[in-house]
Amino acid sequence: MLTRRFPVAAALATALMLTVPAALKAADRADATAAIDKTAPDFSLTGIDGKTYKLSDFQGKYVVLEWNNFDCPFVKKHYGSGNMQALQKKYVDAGVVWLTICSSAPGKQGYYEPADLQTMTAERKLASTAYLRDPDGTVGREYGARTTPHMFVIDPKGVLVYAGAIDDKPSTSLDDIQGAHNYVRASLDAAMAGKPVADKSTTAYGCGVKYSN
Amino acid sequence: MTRRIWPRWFAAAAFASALAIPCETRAQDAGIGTPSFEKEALVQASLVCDASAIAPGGTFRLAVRLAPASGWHVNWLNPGDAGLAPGVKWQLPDGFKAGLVCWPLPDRFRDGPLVIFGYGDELLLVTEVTAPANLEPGTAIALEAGVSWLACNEACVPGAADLSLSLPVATAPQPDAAWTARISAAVARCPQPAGVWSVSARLTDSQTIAMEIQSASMVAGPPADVFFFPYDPGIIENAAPQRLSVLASPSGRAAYQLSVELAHMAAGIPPRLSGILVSSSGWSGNGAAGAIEIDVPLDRR
Repeated sequence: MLTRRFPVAAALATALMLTVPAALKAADRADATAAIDKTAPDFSLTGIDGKTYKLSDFQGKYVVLEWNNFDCPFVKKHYGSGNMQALQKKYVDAGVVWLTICSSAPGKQGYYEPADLQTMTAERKLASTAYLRDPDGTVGREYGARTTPHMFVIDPKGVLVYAGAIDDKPSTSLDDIQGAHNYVRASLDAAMAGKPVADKSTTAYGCGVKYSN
Repeated sequence: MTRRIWPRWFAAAAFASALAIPCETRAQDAGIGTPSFEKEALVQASLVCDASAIAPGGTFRLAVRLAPASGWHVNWLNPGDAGLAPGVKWQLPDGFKAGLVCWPLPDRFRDGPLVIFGYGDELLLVTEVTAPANLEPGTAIALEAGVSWLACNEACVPGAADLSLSLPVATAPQPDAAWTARISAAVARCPQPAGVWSVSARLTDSQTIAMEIQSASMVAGPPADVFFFPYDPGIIENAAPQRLSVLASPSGRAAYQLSVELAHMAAGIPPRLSGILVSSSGWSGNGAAGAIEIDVPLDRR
């Protein structure tokens, strides 16, 4: 089975572990990078609401991770049309935890202070559970998040059941939302109905995540 | 949808060279929802051709020209870790036939942990067009294309343009020397058939592909800076190094192995590998082409 992502991410994760060896057990290391059908790596990030969000606190619930950069044209497509907010609302209402994450490094596109993001998320009527900042890119690299958007679905056991594109129409055109096959909806609907997820991994499309170099 | 494979018969087409009027037109519109001051600066788009007048039944080369501003790039067919390939939709008058578009070999751009495939310099997407025999000399025809692209440096900005080019019809074709040279240079960077090279691919473990690359003839030395660009995204770890090793070959012919890392979160292992093998020193014995095209089964061990 495929168990690793970027070599860079692996190297970085290893380096981070070496600096904080006491905080990590051997079992944690095995899951340090995301892989389909494996336990999703745990993380803890601060939301723009000031609260701390830890993935393992949501055991027992479906969790969606959505990589975000409001200035990316692919993200604008899904927010400008209301497509993303409608998905967020539908599944949050159904008990899903939806975490919108920004891994833009300071100074890079999409990086904003929490106060600015509070305004921006309110303007866009963001309907996810929380908007989290990952400015050093650690969580993004662990998950191999390459693009905005890049979507991940984690089941109530903490297993990654979907990773990839939001839908099957790679474009920046609003016209392509209608008629697109939405992989996030498909995987959540299937998993929540106890059915197998048809497409567990697809190739995400979008702008590159604006990691630090 | 534009296609990738450059038709082999095209190399046989010959074009006379003579002074002619340049036939470039500029983009009439650019940018989707982008501020107008950015439109011209990011990507200049135009239609260009290697003839300033065409003849009934004649053949000419038509190209979409995308020239990104300094520091910006547009993508290859497979954009790599992020981005979007340019799209071209030809709108040609009745009776005109366009061939497949040839995509020159791309460069790699590193962006943090990501690697993007694309072009930072002028890109000419060339196709061969055949005019119908019933054109009337003295008239003019309009060739059009709807073109879209994504321009990126750190940020990405989508653009689109409806391009148009008017060409007079004459009894004899009038080549355009300047564009003939530039279009020929672009075509020289398009993938060629593998020729004397034969390639096979097999999985060595769950994450690695070994590509065996052999030449039917002797070559001077190993090709330099070899990189396999798959046509489809999501197949390989784009940022992972690809290592070339020299294999012992009993026949004395050249044999190499290229080790390529599969995408770690790939949906599955593809049944075939198709794409281009690029070398900075060219593939000797094959006109020193910079890129050769392969489409081979991916064997399980």
